Order: sequence, then structure tokens, then C-alpha cells
Amino acid sequence: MTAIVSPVDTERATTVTLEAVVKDFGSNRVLHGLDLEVGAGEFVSLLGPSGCGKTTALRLIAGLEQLTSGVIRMNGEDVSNIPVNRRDIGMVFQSYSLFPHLDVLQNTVFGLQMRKVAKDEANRRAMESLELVGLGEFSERFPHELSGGQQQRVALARALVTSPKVLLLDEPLSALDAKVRVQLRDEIRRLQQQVGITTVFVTHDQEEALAISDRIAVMDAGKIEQIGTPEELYGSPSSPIVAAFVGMSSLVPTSVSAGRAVIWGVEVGVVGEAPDGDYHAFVRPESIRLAEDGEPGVPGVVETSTFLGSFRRSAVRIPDGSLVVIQHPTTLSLERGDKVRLTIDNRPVVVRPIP
Amino acid sequence: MRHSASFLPSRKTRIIIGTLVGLFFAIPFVATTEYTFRDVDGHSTIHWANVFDPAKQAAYRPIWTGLGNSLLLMVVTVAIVLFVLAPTMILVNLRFSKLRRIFEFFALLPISIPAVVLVVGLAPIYLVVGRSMGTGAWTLAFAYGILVMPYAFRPIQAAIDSINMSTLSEAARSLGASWPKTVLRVLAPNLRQGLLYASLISVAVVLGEFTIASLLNRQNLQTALLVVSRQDPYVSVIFSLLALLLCFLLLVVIGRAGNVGSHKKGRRK
Repeated sequence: MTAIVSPVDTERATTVTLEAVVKDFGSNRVLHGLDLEVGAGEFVSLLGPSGCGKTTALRLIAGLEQLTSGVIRMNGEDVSNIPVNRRDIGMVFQSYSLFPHLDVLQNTVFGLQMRKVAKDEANRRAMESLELVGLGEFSERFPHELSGGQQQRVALARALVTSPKVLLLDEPLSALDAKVRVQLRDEIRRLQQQVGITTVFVTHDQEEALAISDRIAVMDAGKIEQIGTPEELYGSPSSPIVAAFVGMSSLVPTSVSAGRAVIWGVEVGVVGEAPDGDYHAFVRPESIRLAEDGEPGVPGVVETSTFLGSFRRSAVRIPDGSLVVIQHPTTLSLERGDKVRLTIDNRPVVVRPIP
Repeated sequence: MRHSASFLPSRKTRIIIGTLVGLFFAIPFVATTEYTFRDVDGHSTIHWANVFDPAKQAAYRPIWTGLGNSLLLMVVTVAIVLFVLAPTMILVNLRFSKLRRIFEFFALLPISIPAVVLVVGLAPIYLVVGRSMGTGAWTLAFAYGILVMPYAFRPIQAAIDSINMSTLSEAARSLGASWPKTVLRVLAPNLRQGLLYASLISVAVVLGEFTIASLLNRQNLQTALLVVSRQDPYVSVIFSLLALLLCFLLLVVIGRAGNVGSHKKGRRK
């Protein structure tokens, strides 16, 4: 199988388009007219809290659920009514989905058998695919003899072996422990770029999404709140929901007038429209630092300080009662009860009305 | 799994329980065997010799007929369990999970209805069956399919509950398998143990069934044994023993056949 190991095959790579996709479960509407375009060879993550409809969206692309209304296209062709087994997708599931009665090679070769590929060629391709995920030597093991991470790698090899149009990943890392999760995350990204396959990845872990994606679609309550590159979402979230969900922020009370907010005596811009009034501002830890003498700022008392390897993260209580998180080098050692003065960098902030 | 070892009874307890249960089953069996060797004064093999006496074969013909019918019924009933009950259960569990409770209720219902009562309902149905499909003994399999349902349901349901059927089938489907292929290639092999036990218990029920066959005037092994016992109780008991042995052998053979697939797995462990 050359397609798997060859560089990006732009002719084969598929675009996936969702147009006004609506999905009801009984009387419960879980997707409210979803629009999404995934470019050929692109890696797009659907990120959101549980129940936001991200898994449903993925299952609709796979064909495991029926659309209530709307259209799903692959390379422009309407695939809404093509059943899952003829939609030519590869999928990796959250729970371990290897067939327990088949060994690793038999699992991997399954999709090729379904496509009636000749036995010798099928076995050769399956072995190549297993080599690709680094499990060539495990071909005769049974799933119960593998660790969780290995099982998911086999599942990945199994999904890729048929050179599907789209790779769909439904929280494939969430059952794994932290270290394996990061390893496999990087490996998925490497494979995806090597194969050049269009990929949709569902996760509730913002760090995972930021690390792995070309673009991220942040979903909430059955809609896409914002879609953009990881940098765009982190740097300029378009709504409070995105700001709260992507990256870490502290909520700081502020008042807005004429599109400008004043925080601790520093005037900063406001993202989007905000009528004059009182708001909470989302402030990233890296926007906050200790104030120099003479700079405007706010006094505060350190409540906790956590050593995180290359940096420390400290929580500081300020007079209005809110808790502000800052990040600083480990050379600055803060302890509980230390008095500090904080200031904020002049970057636009996202605000939401105080509830 | 490891810590569950501490909940296992000790070796001594196991031997005691094993002996008691063994005796419970062995005593009637030994007594029955002893009975077949009884003679007017003491013991002899005369009754066993009678069984193989060509001159008496005519008298025993009902037994051979009954046995043939029972074996046929056994095959059809197992087929009903494997090809009607099991696929229905898979479908209910995968696609109509709201029906699970109701389905379970109906599947277990026959166990609470005595066979005699069941026949009251079955008799008029079998009038119709008799007209359309003939009165062959094999038609009893429809009634037996219902009779074994509660027994076959449990092991299959336990097997279904022990695997993640929805993920397995979705994985198979996403890899290009049609529904029939998904069931045959992925689900059935993983439900094998449950299907096997369901088949075994169906065989045992069918070979031991008397009431329905008798009341619907069909001949099977048990009704034939009764007929013969009226002429020669010793021979009837001998055939009962042989039937038990046959049943035992069948269970071993089916059990072996069903385990063939798992040997490979066991060896590699």
C-alpha cells in the first residue's frame, strides 16, 4: 500500500462539508443548523463540553446517525444517504473497539477483507499499516494482551489501512493515562500529516485540541461558537464561551464605556460589541504580571503557588474578592500570604455581562 | 480479577461440595442402572440382552421412531434459537433498547406457564399447523422454540451484556461490513459462549420433553419410552439410561465443537 506512506496525495484528499445540519433525538434538538467546512487534508477538532453535540456531529459524518435535515458532502458529493459501511471512512472510537476474537493482524486486515482485497496483498498492507504505528511485532497478539495505548494504535492502523476518504476520531485518547495520551496525540498528528488524510477529531480537552489541530471548532449547545486556528481561538476568542473554554482565564470585574474597559487603572480594548456597563473580563495568566513601581496596578495577597516544572502558577486574591491566576518564572518564589501588586498588559479582552 | 481469588472457597470446601453434588446426581443414576440388572432371583443381564434380541425389535420400534423424531426436533429447535431468537435479541439490544424489558418479559414468560396449560393454547394452533404444514413430528419444534426460550434467553443475554456490542458493530460497519457480515464475522464469534450454552440447554430440554408431545399426539423419545414401559419396564429404563448417555454425549460433542475456536486463543495466551 503506497498511498499510506506517500506524501500528501492532494488528488485523493477529501473535503467534508456540513450544510445546515440539524439532528433531533426525539423531541430533543442536539444540533441547531451546523455549518462546517473541512479542507482536503486538514485536521479539524470539534471541541466543547460534554453534551454540546460534537460527538453527534462526528457520528453524522460517519453515517452512524441519520440527519434530521441538512446535507453532508464529501468532495462536493451529497453522502447524507450513504450508509456507514459504504461511506469509505476510517473511525477510531473512545472505548476500545478491537474485535476481541481476532488477533492484531486479523483486526487490521478486516476492512480490506470487507473490500475483497486479495489475501496476500491485504496481509501485506495490514502489516505496513501496523509498522506505521510501530506495532509490526505485535501482529499475533490478541487485543487483551495489549495496553490501552497499543489498542488505540492498532485501531488507528485498522482505520487507515483501507485508505479511507476521511479519518474520524471520537475522543480516542480519553481512556488513556496522561503520558500515553500525549505520546499518541503527537503520533496521530505525525501520521495524519504523513498520510495527508482529512481528519475530524472530537475532544473535550482544549489542550489536546490546541496541540494537534489545523483548526478548531468550539461548539456549545449544538452550535459552532467559533472556528479558527489554535492561535486565533486562544488570542482572540470571539465570545465569552470560547474564552472560558479555550485556555485558562481569570474573571476580573470591570466597567466598559465607549468600547474601552478599565482594569486596575489600565485602559484596554474590548473584543466585539459591548454596551456601556459592568462586566467580567477574561484575562489570560500571561497578560498579568507583577507591577513595577509607579505603574498602575492592584494590590493582592498570594493564596497558592504551584511549581509546574518550567514555571510557577500562583493565585492572588485582590481587594474586590476575585482570584487572579498569574504565571511567572520559578526564580520568583511566591509564598502564601505574600503581598504583591499586579498589572495587566494592554491587550484586548473578552467581556461578558455580570450575571 | 486477581483479588477475586480470595473469594474462592478453599480446596477442602470445594471437594466437599463436589462430592455432595456428585452423590446427588449419581445415586439415582446408579440405582437405575442396578434396576436394569434385577432378575427374579438376584441379578442378570437378561434385560440388556432383550434390547439386542432381534425377535423383540418390533416391540421397541416406537423408541427408534421417537428417538429419530426427537433428534430432528432438536436440530430444528436449536436452529430456531440460533437463527430467530439470537438475531432478534441482537436487534433488540442494538436498535430497540427501549423494548429490552418487554422482550425479556415475553421471553421468560413460558417458564411460568405449565406445559399442560400451554397445550390448551397450542392445540387449536396445531389444528391450523396440521392443515398447512402436515402433522409431522417436526412441527412440534415451533412449540419447543417457545418452550426453550426462557432457558436460551439467559445465556445469550449474559453474553450480549459482557461485550460492548454497539461499539463492536459500529467499528465493523465503519470498516465496510454490511449488517449480515457484522453479525456473522464480529458479533456471533464474540457471543459464541452464550450461543453454545443456549444450544446445549435447548438440546437437553427437547430430549426430555414429554407433556406437549403426548398431549398433541406426536411421538418423541419420551412418549415412546412410556409406550414401551407399559410392555417391558426394564427395557424402558434401559432406553432411558441410553437416552441419558446419548444426551450426555451430544452435550460433550457440541461443547467440544463450540470450543474449537477458542483453543487457538488459549494456546497463545
